[in-house]
Amino acid sequence: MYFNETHIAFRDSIKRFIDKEINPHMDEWEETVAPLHDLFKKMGDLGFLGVRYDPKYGGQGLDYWFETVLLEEIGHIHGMGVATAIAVQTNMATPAIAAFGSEYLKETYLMGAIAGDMVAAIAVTEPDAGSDVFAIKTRAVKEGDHYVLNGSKTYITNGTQADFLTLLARTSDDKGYHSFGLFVVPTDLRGFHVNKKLDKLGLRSSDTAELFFDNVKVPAKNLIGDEREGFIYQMQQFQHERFAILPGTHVAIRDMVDMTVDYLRQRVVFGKPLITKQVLRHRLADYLMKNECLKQLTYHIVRMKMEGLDVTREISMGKLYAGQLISEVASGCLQMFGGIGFMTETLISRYFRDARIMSIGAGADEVMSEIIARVEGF
Amino acid sequence: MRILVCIKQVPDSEGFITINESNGWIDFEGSYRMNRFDEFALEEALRIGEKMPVDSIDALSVGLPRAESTIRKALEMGASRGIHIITEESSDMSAFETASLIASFAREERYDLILAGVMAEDDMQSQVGPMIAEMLGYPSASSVIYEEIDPERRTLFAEREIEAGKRECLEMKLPVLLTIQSGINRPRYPALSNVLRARNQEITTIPSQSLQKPVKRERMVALRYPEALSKGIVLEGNEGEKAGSLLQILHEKSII
Repeated sequence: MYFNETHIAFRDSIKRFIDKEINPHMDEWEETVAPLHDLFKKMGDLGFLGVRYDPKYGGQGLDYWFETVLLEEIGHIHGMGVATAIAVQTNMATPAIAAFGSEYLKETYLMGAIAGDMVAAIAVTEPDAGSDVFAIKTRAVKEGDHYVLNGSKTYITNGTQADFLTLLARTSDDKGYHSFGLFVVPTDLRGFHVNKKLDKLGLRSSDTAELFFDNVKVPAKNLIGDEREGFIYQMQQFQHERFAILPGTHVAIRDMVDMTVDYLRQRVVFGKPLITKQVLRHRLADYLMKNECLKQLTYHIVRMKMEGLDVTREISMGKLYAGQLISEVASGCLQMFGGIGFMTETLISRYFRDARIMSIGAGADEVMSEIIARVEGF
Repeated sequence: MRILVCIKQVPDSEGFITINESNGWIDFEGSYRMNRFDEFALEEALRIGEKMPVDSIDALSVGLPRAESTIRKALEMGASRGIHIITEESSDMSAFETASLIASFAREERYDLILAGVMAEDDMQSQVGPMIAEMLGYPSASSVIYEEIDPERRTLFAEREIEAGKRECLEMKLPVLLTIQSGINRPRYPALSNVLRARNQEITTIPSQSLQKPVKRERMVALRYPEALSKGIVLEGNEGEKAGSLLQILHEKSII
């Protein structure tokens, strides 16, 4: 109903790429993290990294439905780390450059990211400022033709491999939201340090880093838009980031249920396959019912986006629900796998570990609830 | 330089094939896709097009209307034109009939190079390519694992895979027909821009009746399931005994 033959052909193309170029390597990449330059170059050559972006910068100039196809298909990757790394490149670190960046920034960084020549990261979170973005301390002070950047960022996805960061920094001490700038910071500047690659519970195929900026001189032309409006730009960029989570989540949930059903068909307990147990069948049916709600909300959001409507409320609800549901299903499916589900070698255990971040990253559940409450006026 | 790539739509191996007793052919439940060997042939043509100026890379399939999806896949990979010789028969076509139809079309088009997969995955006859070459009077090489064209001398150097990993090297004057062995390259994934282009691109359709009618030279007598020749063996005993029995069997069969 939502997808035509061209969408289906695009879907087939991505699926084939994931089946051949990503999934066979996932076990290895869980140990070593995915080599993003190599992977993104291949994806860039195929036009996967700039689905919605202007053809002038190498994008395909397509609509949100095509973007949804890409985001759904990366949900089939056997582990959410690589899907997250891809979404950072397409939906988290680059939308603000496309929307508010200068011609120079678009030609240099957006084009590089779309082509897969550059790896992008989004640098907002700090040791003392996570979902509370307003509390960030990293500071950019204008001196002549550059800004001097000092501070640190943490939990930065793609952080050790990134060629540039889309970074939020305080540009003035004024109170209120108009005191932040959003910058494109190349990672080859003097004073930039990757302190360490962080060891995580999940998303292990994706690298996550702690970054330091010690008097880093960022050219003034690397400022995105107005130096006082970065917070606003980032809040808008967050909408792309949060949406990016939804399509892949309902797909991954469906994959988890499917792999669990396959296992329950084979697993014989007390003389019968486990799939015959009504308690398990009904629980799986409940998961699918809830997942259908998530999928339909996702499609509803796409339709709203296509109409140019404000989707803050719906995306916040979708992100909140997606995070809660994927953890519930991952945990419930692992329970049905029993002992083998607890083994690292099984895919369900990886999904279980990876699912947990979905209620934390890109705005925690509690922040999503608060946004919904505010939009509703209480 | 004009290149023709012959592609065949085959049943996906994940589908389920049964013999239909009433019409003497098969029933197939599953999806269809491009013959893998033809993918290598198409990729080789595309690579030639990246190395030297090429006027067109045409992808041609002989088959039922459903073969259009496979031709479109070739366009998605980067073929410049799709050609569909539409047949109406749902039963088998002999290699001679298929080759005759393709040769009838290609004769007028004067291709410099014709590529085909070394065989079709479904009937594994390996005949269509060499037959086309014979009908058109082109030199040909089968099971090609490497090729290089010298556009100035209009020659083609090819390496064929032969027994024990050895290679036979040939040089031929264009026009040439090659059947391509798997492993010669790594077929590409369709780029999104080509996927979009392929959706709207016209495919040239040619009713098979409008081409020179081939005379059927073979008649299929029957399709039959192979008889089960061997049964599985369940090894008895504890782990050590089972391992010993297995080792003995493997020795007896000269597998290790």
